Amino acid sequence: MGKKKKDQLSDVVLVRDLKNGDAKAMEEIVRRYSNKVYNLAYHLTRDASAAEEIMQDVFLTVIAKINTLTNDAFFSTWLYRVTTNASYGFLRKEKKFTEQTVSEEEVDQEPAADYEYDWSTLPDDILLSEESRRILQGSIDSLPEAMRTVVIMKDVEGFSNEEIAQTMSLSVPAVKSRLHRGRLILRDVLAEYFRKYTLGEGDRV
Amino acid sequence: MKCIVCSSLFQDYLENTLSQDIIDELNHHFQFCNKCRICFTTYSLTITLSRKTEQPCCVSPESVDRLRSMLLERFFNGR
Repeated sequence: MGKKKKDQLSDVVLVRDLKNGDAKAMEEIVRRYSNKVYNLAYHLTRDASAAEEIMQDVFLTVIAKINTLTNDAFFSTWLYRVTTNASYGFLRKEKKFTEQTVSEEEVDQEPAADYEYDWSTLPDDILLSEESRRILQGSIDSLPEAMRTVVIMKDVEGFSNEEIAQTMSLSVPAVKSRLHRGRLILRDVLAEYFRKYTLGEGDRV
Repeated sequence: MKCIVCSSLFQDYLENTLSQDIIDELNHHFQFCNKCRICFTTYSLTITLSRKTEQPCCVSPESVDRLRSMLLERFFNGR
């Protein structure tokens, strides 16, 4: 079967072909998903060489365990779950990540916010400065795992709520709740930073 | 509409999954509640900044080629 034809096949058909030992199906899956797997691993670990290693491990897992996938329609979310697990495994191994378990009550807590300060009117060169990027990136990294993965998958990688829910074995409302709280925490950090910045108190580097 | 309800609808509002009557109610609330209006605009901007801060990255074609070769070898030598 030609490459062009494989391009047009659904994941379900490709997975079925892969289970039947079709190497072309595997090549198409690599073409279709290698960048997505790499990006997700990169944004979770912030380490390019780790992301490449994780990508390799993920696809080796695909080959080794594809026959254990009972519902072929869930292939992509299974792939992303293998990727997130491998990424957090790497972070734990490197001690760059301390597991923070968050109860639903904690997830539901409303972060304190400076609602009165409207920093959305600041010019782009301040909003998108190197320092504000660093602050935001650090804040994303500091989010509890439950929120961090959801925020990265949704706001950085552009996954749908349903895909995230399937990947993380959560309900869609649970995904939305974690996403909302995560965004509020990030918003509060930015509000604090930009408020200090405009008052001339920012610890600019 | 209470402010706490307004805040809980931000996500659905941004994803355009609310019915028109709720959207109208929210817009009406924003006209009169400065706190919620600021809260919403900064919430929305936080999402935009998160997206812009986290630059899209790309795996190199060489890495994909290496991966493909490795997988093919594994594939044909038995999984």
